[in-house]
Amino acid sequence: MRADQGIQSGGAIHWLLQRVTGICLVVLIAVHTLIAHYTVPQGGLSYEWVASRMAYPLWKLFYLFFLLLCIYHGLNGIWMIAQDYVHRGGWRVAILGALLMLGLLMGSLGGLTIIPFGTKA
Amino acid sequence: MRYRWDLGFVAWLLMRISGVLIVVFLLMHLFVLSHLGLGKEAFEGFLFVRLADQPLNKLLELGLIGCLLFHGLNGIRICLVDFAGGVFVQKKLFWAAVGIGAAIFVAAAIPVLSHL
Repeated sequence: MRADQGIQSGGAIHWLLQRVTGICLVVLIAVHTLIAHYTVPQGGLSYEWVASRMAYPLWKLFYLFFLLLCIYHGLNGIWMIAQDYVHRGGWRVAILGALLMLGLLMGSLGGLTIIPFGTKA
Repeated sequence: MRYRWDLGFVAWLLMRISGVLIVVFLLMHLFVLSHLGLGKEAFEGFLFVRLADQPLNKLLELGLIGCLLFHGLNGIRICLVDFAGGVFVQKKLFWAAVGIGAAIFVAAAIPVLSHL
């Protein structure tokens, strides 16, 4: 086994999922961008405009799903790039660990903004 | 090893560059929007929210739109090549992606710049 084959988390399934999540993200980003930035009422982007959507649980669900796909697709992409240039097992473990931590951080940051939004006085 | 600067390589390279830039944007986007949880005053008073209307940020927004359009449309091209026999027309598909992207970019840029 070559050194650069030491750590690969599954390979093919992530290759496929990168495409599946990518196609989903094309649709999700189109919806998000058109709603959040191109149908903004007079006066531009505001707290109220975001709050009016986040009052609906379905929009919260939409954004949680969107967030999850963004994190997976984005960090999996970085991981794919890293695997092309980093061949030492130790460095790969370090990078994968850092990406997992980053994903957790992004998920927490986004989730803790989306889920409790509007429930506090 | 030497890189051959043909169309496929350029598309592959731009895919990586735009992807990394979008991840950087996503990190900033999540950081800024996490201030929504602090309430209206805190959010709208936050430095980076106030910077959103600056002309320089409009330029960055155009860059973001360009990256998203290229990454998304070229991503569709990759799926067509991988799953739908598009391998025989992959160069045509590349130019189709660029053409469609350019048209959407112009349509998307007009409202961004008119907010200046």
